[in-house]
Amino acid sequence: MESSSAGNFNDEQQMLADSVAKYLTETYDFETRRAVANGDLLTPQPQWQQFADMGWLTLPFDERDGGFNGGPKELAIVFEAFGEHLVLEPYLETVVLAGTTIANGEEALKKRYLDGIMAGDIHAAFGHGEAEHSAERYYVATSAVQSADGWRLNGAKSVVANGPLADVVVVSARISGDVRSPQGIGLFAVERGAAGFTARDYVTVDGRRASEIILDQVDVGAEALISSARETLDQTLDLGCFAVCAEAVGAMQALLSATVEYCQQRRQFGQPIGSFQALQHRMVDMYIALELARSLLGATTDALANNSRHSERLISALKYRVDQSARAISYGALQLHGGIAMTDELNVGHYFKRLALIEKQFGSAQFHLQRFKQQPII
Amino acid sequence: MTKDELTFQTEVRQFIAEYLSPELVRAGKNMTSVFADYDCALQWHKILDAKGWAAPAWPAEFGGTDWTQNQHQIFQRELKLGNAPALMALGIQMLGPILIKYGTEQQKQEYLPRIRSGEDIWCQGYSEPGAGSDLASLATRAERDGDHYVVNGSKIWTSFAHRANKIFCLVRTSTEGRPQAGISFLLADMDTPGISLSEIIGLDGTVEQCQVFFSDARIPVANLLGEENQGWSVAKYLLEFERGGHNYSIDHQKLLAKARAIAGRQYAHNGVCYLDDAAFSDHLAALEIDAIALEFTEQRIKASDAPGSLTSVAKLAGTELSQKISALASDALGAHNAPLQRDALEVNYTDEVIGPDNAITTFAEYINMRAATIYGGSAEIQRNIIARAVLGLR
Ligand SMILES: Cc1cc2nc3c(=O)[nH]c(=O)nc-3n(C[C@H](O)[C@H](O)[C@H](O)COP(=O)(O)OP(=O)(O)OC[C@H]3O[C@@H](n4cnc5c(N)ncnc54)[C@H](O)[C@@H]3O)c2cc1C
Repeated sequence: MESSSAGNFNDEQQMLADSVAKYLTETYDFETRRAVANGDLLTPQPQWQQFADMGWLTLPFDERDGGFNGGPKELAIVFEAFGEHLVLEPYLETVVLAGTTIANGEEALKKRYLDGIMAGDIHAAFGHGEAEHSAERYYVATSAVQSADGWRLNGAKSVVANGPLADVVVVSARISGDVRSPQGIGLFAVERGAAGFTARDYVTVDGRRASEIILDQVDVGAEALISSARETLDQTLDLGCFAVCAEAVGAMQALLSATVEYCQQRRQFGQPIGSFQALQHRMVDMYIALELARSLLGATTDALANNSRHSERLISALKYRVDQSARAISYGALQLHGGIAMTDELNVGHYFKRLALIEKQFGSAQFHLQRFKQQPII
Repeated sequence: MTKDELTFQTEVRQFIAEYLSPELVRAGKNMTSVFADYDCALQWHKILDAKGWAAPAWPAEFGGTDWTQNQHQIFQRELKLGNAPALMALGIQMLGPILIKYGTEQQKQEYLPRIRSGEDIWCQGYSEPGAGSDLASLATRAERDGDHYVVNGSKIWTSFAHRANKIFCLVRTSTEGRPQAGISFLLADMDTPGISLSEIIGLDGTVEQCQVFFSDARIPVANLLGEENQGWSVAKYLLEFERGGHNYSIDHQKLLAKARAIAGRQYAHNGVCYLDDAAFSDHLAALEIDAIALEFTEQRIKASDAPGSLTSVAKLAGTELSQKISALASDALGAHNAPLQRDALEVNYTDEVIGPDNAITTFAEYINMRAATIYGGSAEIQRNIIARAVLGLR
């Protein structure tokens, strides 16, 4: 019940996996995590600087930009470990979503943000979803109109994860086309301090932070436009989707282990509850659900690493499978723990909440089913 | 519906229109578990009591009604769909019926009117840290000392103990014979010296359960309900009410309406709202079919003198269906599950909510619904019961 999803590691990957595991095991216990969750909404998590010191924040960036040149395998390693320990720090938002998008920008923009992101000084977020359309991948009503020396943005973004901490938010805004057109969407770097930028900040049910953002006549320079290519948006969303799937696999592994251990130790009717066949079979089903998700994670990791034309299809397959597995495993974990599962004190319910929100990120099950069906068969 | 039933329905509706204030409706709408806002629940309880409707299922001589099954059904449905806050039900739905069956004349006179009026709020102290599914192994000791029992031990997951002034509990009065044979049913004041509690924070961040501690708590022998060492039979009678007394089908109607409302507004993909997505709406339709099947199962239970096994079927299918519907509602809500909006559940909250109005309850309801297959006999225990008692497998 071990064997990482990402398959065989080279020495460097093994070192990364070991260092992440060591750090989290030694310093990120559940009480530490609770303190992070209860931290002030507008103050960066104290661990963030340590993430930077260990070089983690440079992971996906190009060597030329001062990065580690890590690929999907490295990302999967980190995110699986994050999932296992329920890490709350906004690595996904700052590094993966905003960071890798900004890395597509002009030199001036990269200079302004990327070094700071890698050093842990600049925090970032990715604002794409809008109100009841969040699950629609290309719905963007927020508008970008060219002005004398740049762009003027108007619109609203909902549930922008890490919004409260972000110095800069990469927002999608429509340059041309219908609100649902996959074409004509620009990605812009907007600073939280910009005139006309307002945010309603809050904590989320899984102990993270997010904002509702309103852009009211926000003016940005020409260099703020990172890309208007559909591929950039797709790649960013797919990379984020892939990362949370790896996170989910780590979280599911932790939930299954916790459940098996609990059932061996908890006694009712004079025997460990794990001796009841009904529960054994349920745990076996949880295990199968985990391994199926793990296999697709491995396949997707390879496809992404090889720039395979099947990656999109696999990412949708992975996300759909992860959603199903997450549900089977978290429902089972709660049920088999009995009453204690329903408490804030035990970590099991917190895994459940995180997995439930991962299910709702980066497209609905229906979106991924549709996209899977539309892609060419491998 | 017969003509009389229609008249009755109109009467209930008029009553609701007159007395269920907007604030009370908010309390009903904002429920995310079986409990509503305490003050509102109590206020509504008193309003119902003044009309003689607080404990309608009790025999008329104890302040109940002589309604038919259908009238009870209509009454419950109108209240639930009208968003009335739920009453704190342990006294009315569970203790009341056993007091009526097992209580002494004095106990009936002392407790029943106070339950009906809402003066006493009861909690149920059965489960213990070491005795959940295997309830008969409970270890809280009650030793006789003159006219009192001296009680030591602890109860856990006691719902609403922090709001209750009374507790009914199962205690061990004998260690001889089968474990079931040494259990007694005791009634106690929560402010008895030696009884204390600690609150348990639930997954949704609120307190609904507690751990209750007994440390040399002296409880009068007169508070014994039924005979000493007969508590197990008393409790089993009560469990029938916990498992079978609930109208899951009305819950389902309300949950389905909410899921539909959310699914009609939120988009699943490329211009298609959830309700118009084939996979989603097929799933919803399948759950509606189960809901109808369950409604008729409940009718069969009501029509039968010996529902027995069907009661477990209804509890099992009913709770699992509630879980599926609330999951579907949460699915359709998508990203709007994320904001934690506990403040917005307060009845006097006036700020704007984040996302659609029903966003504030959906995720908490989804989480809390997971408990429905744990309490009152877990899904596994219900399956064991059906396998043994109904299918004769052993
Ligand atoms: C929200 C909530 C409210 C509650 N309110 C109250 C209350 O007011 N008063 C009160 O007294 N109690 C209350 N309870 C407690 C509830 O009745 C117990 O949680 C329940 O009986 C299960 O016991 P347990 O939690 O100890 O789990 P356990 O008994 O330890 O069960 C753990 C798992 O093992 C399974 N299992 C156990 N035995 C078997 C078996 N023989 N075969 C197969 N599977 C088995 C269970 O089904 C479960 O999945 C409440 C619980 C919750 C969650």
